[in-house]
Amino acid sequence: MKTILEVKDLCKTYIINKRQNNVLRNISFTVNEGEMVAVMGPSGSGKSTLLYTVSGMDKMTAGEVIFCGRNMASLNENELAKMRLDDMGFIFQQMYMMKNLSVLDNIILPAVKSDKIKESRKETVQRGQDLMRKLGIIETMDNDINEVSGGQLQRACICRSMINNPQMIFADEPTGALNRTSSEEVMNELTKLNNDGTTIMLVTHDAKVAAKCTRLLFLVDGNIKGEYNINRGLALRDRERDLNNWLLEMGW
Amino acid sequence: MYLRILKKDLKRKKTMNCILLLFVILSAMFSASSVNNIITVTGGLDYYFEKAGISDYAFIVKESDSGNSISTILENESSVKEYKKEEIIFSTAENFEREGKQLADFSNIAVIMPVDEAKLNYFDSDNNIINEIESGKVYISGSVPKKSGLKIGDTFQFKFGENELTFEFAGIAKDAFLGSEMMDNTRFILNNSDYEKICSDSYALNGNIGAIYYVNTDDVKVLESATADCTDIMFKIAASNLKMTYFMNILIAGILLIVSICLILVSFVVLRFTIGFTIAEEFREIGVMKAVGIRNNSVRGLYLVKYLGIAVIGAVIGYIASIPFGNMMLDSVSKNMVLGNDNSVLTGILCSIAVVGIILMFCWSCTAKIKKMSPVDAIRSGQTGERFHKKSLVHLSKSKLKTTGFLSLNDVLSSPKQYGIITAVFTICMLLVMVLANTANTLNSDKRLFLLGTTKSDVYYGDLERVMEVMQGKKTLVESVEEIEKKLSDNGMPADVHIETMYQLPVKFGDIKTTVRFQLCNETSADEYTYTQGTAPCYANEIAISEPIAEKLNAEIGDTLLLAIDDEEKKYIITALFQGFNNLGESGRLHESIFPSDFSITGAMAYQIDFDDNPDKKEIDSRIEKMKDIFNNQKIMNAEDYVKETTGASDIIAGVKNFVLIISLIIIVMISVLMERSFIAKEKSEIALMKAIGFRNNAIYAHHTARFFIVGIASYVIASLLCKPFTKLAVDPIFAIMGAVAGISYEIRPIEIFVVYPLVILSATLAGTFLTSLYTKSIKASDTSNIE
Repeated sequence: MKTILEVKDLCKTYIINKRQNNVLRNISFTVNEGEMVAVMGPSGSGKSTLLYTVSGMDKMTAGEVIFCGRNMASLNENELAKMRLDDMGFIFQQMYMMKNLSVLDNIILPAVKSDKIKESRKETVQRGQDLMRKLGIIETMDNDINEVSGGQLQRACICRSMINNPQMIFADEPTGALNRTSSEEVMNELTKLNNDGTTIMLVTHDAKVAAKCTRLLFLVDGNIKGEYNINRGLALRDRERDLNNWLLEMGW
Repeated sequence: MYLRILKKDLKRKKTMNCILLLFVILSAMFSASSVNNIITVTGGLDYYFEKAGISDYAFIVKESDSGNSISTILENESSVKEYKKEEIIFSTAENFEREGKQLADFSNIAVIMPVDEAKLNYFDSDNNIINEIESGKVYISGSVPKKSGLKIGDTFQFKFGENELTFEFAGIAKDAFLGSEMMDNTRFILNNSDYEKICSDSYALNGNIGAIYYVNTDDVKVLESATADCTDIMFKIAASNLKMTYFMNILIAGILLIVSICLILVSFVVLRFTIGFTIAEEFREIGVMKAVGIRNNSVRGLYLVKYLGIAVIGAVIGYIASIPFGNMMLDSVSKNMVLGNDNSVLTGILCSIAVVGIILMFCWSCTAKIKKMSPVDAIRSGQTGERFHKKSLVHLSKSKLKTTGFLSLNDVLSSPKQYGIITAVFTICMLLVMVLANTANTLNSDKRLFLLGTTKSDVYYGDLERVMEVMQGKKTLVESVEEIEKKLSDNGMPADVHIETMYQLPVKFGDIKTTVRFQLCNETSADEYTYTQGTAPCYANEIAISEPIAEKLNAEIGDTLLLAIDDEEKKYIITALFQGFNNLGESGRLHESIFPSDFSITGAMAYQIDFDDNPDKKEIDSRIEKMKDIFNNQKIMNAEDYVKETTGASDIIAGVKNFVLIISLIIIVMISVLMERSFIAKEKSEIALMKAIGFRNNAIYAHHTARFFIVGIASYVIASLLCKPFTKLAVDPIFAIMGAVAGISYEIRPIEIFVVYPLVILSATLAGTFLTSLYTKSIKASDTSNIE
């Protein structure tokens, strides 16, 4: 299987008040095409930092991140921005959207900005509407973002992350701000996307969410303490049970 | 605990607090200096006149042996309470030389006076009364010191008949009677012994001796009536009208007032917005405090204490800054006036305290929202709460704009209040500059010749010396004109020459008796002039009078006036009314077929020259240069320069306009920078999100700059639409003071008004915004995770 993301000896250090804080310490892992990798760990273990660093949103202190064959360290800010626009999709815990735009406009914004897909504005709108229809939020198309529920908004964020047909989606606790029902709906959509071939890397605190992925990286103090392959062939309840047992072993 | 919350808040919200502090400083500075200037300027003229000892009425007379002399009238007139007399000698620019050249072009006749004869108080540049002058030294009032470039200690020669004296320039004199921009009769104040030396040449003195009478009266109208038949009077003016000769200062002061009021408005509007904006940004903290059980009043108190602290610091700094700023603004008015405001320190402090009070008032009204904010606001972090009430007005899905343009337009349309305030401020600044430019251009334009009561000619040649020769009877007017024509013909420039002469004529209408300054030119036809009502005089017994004179006499077209020309009283029918700047709008026009004696001429405009071969403008300008050499006179000019020279206002207004332009640019840049900076602070999450989804830094700079571009364009459109009506509204009253009571059409130069100034203002806006938007570079895509 083709490797999409290769991380070698990744280090990230923050200096706060002249004190060095090593958030990520020599982390190495790979993500293959079609995988859905969950990152779990206690608070402050560096999960979100890892996600933002490997996605080029934050600069690494040392190491190597190769995304789709390109070493991120060698790319300038504009090239990184283009990579994020064309080849990556992002979903955040807080459903960040441009507040002055309607839901549909928020979704199609990256597509209008990008020149990756040569199409008319009408075709872009059509694709945005198709995605919304697929995720069951087409009725919110013309709504402002304050007029829709958190679950609908997060699904709109998923649509936005998908609009440029990215190589990989990065999600930072996508269900963290949602209730149980919305959470399940959003995870079902992400799983469907993954089943359709989209590679996903997500950070979560929730074992139920992680159980829907194909692999789990467990982070403690900036190191990968363990890696767990999830057997999607099993029933979800069994996967959750096995994963929880493993997490207990890891000290979760 | 409150102190700790406050300390933390001040530290954490450093940017917004600094922005607020800057606006408080600006507000305190603008309001303290502006209110001080308003007080100083509005009471300034009365203060100056009182200090100078100006009387109710003043006459400038030439010495004559007529029985009906002014002193006899004043002695016998019961309405006269008291009068003072200053003996003077009339002179012209030709009498003064420096390094072999004429000292300067004098706009009008100059007067020479001994310091001991002074009946008014004349002030030096430090506003001290000039009581003594050493022999050989001279104080000079009016525009000559500036025109000549004289510095204290410089010397020049005064040639008067057989006498040639060298004088040392002792400094400028502030002359309340003759020193205004409009009067601009230069007064040379010198030592008595020097004056006596000048008086020793009796031939030179012939026709040049005169006096100024300052009269205090119970009834100005009775005095006017009593002196109506006095032929010695060259010029007379009531104190109320004398104030009008300071119209330039009034105009500048008026502009200063408008600028000051605008500055106060701008600063408070922006301050109100910033306070509202910063409090709205703190809803989360407010929500949290309420969630943990802190009462509304305590939360409100916390913010009041914070804003009180900022307001006090800002007001103190603003007050200190207001002193040099106010002086700089006032400088343009106080050059030839003694302005006083003994309470400036107190006013400044009171204004600064008022700023603090107003800020707290704003803060009190803004924090009223605290009651409405619930703990839920804190829990929701505002991301999904009721904070967003607006619907997007435009849609990317339906728009053909690219992302940057669309996002900018959408932001502006979605936040009409905040961008509306910026638009209003920019519009005010643009309008101020446009109105002043229109005023300066209008006063400059040769289309305004009619307001000077003159016709268009190729060249205007101002030569007071020649006119004085006619008035003194040394030559006839015809000889004077023919002499110029001959000189021009001898130099290969044959031309027709004519001149508008003035006559101070006694007028009777019913019970009203007064004198009116009439204009006459025998070489032009009365119908070549512009009238506001009626038809031009066609016969010798027909006249036109200005609207203010018609009002003064209570006369209308068709009425018959009694006019005494060369002591011969005749009836004249009013056939037309007109308006003009001459004599503050109070004048009349005689028909060209009347030929009064040269001796009754009391003044004249410039000699008007019309070349026989109708040369083009370029050729005229080249001939003007030749004529300057031929006549050894610099006051030879084309129509446009003549208007400029005669009104004497355009340069000053242009100076004020440039000053206002600079102030406007400073305000605009500061507002752009501070607003943009506060927008960045407010929109940090959106900027981070845009970066996260792949927007480059350049796209974000463009997005932020484009919003101000849209605001700038909106301001430009509004200012352009309002430019004409606003100019009329603001400047018509000023022109009415000058005599153009029926209003005038304005000279609007499209390139300058609608291209150059807006472009300068827009460029400053965009430069300020763009440079500030570069700060967004420090916001990282990963900051999406750190945003509260």
